[in-house]
Amino acid sequence: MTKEIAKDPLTQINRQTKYKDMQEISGDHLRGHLETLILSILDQGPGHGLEISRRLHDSGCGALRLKEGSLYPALYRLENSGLVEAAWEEETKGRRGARRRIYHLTAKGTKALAKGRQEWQHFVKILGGILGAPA
Amino acid sequence: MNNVVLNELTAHLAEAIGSLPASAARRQTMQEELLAHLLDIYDEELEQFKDERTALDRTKQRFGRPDELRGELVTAVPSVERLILLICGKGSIMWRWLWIVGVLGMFVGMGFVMPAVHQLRSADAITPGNRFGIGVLLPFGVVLTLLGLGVFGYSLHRVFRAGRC
Repeated sequence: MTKEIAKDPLTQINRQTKYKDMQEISGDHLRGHLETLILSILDQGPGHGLEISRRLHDSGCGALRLKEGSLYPALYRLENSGLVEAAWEEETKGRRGARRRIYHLTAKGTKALAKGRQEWQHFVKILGGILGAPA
Repeated sequence: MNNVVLNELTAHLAEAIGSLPASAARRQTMQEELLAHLLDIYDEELEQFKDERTALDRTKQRFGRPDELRGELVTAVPSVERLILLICGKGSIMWRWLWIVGVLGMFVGMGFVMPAVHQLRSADAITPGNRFGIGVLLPFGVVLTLLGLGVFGYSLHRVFRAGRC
């Protein structure tokens, strides 16, 4: 495990051996879909930034290469749009008083997620047809 | 965790958030939340590698470069907030006021130009009745508009330059 990390120093979350053969998807490809991905992750239940990052990593079988700091601008945009809401957690043990914020999906966010899924299916159907690689 | 680690992580964040065009409250929220995340990563890495320097370096790598993060965080600040800060924020007050003066100058100048141009277009000939409008107000309005435009452009340039520094 340690040896594998040393080969890949930029990996955000330590790549688990079971994911090592997955082809990676970098931030550039994710950028347009990150907000919908976060909504989908929060659909599983509320979570703070690190937890969202872990869930994204696990859901993507370790193939998503995303700087963890990049999550926050997307989370803030979602919050500004009213698609997610956040509340400060009470416990700060071990973090010198720095608190985490727990995000959860709003009703508007649930609707946006459903719309995002529909749009994605449409996108894949159309592009898959053009590329000759239907989903 | 020692203070050196905390200071280094705080400085890493300050590079991204310190000059962000956002309200102090928003920056404070970002600072605390992102610091909590950085400290969580650091704890994970320290537990795995048992070395503070390695854990610190890996924490920064996982989190991302401050300049890239800053660029992305700017997009998360509402445009209205950025505009208000640009006009009412700290520093460069003189240039911001000049900017407003420039815009006002342009509007007032156009207020002279438009009626004079209308007179010019509708009149068959310059008569004593419209001579003042065409001969005096039109040049005055043009000069005022151009001055306003110049002041506006220059002050805008200074405001943005001050914002980058």
